[in-house]
Amino acid sequence: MSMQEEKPLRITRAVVLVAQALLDKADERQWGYDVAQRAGVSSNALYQVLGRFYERGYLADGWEDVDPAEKRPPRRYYTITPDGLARLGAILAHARQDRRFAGLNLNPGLAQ
Amino acid sequence: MNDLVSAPISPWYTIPASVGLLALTFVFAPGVLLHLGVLIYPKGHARRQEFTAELYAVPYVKRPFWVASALVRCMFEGIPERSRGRRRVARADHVDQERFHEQEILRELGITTNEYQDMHKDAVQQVRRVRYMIREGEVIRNISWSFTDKEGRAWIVSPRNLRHRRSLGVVFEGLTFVRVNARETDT
Repeated sequence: MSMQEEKPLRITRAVVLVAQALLDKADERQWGYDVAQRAGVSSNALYQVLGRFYERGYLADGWEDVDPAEKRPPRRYYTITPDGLARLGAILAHARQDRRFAGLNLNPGLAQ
Repeated sequence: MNDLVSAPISPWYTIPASVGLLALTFVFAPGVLLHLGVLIYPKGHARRQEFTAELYAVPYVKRPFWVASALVRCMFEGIPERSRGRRRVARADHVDQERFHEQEILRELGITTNEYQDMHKDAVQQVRRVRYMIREGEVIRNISWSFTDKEGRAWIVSPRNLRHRRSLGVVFEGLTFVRVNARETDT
């Protein structure tokens, strides 16, 4: 909602892993737990990173429609914005050059 | 034989107690703790709903770990949010106060953040027009009126607070904009 002032995004291991997980299914709705599973990060790290991406406009959000018979609250989903697609690709491209992330199995096809 | 008789035997309640303990650890405790933990966030914050809803997607075996980690996020994110919220309230800025409830309203109406931002822009433009009318001497005290924005959505404007919990309301410069939708309770 309220956009915070743009601060440079500190690229950490969690940021790279979540960016890669998001780009894996760039055209689909992304659900928190599924992203965490694909990225291999904890819920703490996941939501911190999602919050940063969201504040910067890389992600948009929405709430699922739930059948009232299911008796559970609607889940929040995220979708990658056009700007986010380029930015997340850039993060991955940067990470591939960075020695700190040499141990991560980054999919070269995702980095633009 | 004598040894067998005197061997320690588990009491009858061992099995039900173990099942109960497992249920407590993997079913009840994570849910209860998470519901308590999200209360750290200010009322209406999206994370309150997001965390509790996401728990349903997590397998029971992983829930304690998921919740423990989520509680850390609640503390590191919720406490600063709450303190920022208090500062905003102290400034008595209507628009900022409204943001506390924004996410809850959006969720209930099933609209996206981007749609809401568009609506807000429309409403602000209308308010500027209204303020011009006030300067021109229009009598608006205690009068509510409606308008239709360029998207065809109907709004009611009033100097009084018409906002209902289930309505999409924008308070701006002392005027309340309430979007008229299918719910009768809106106005």
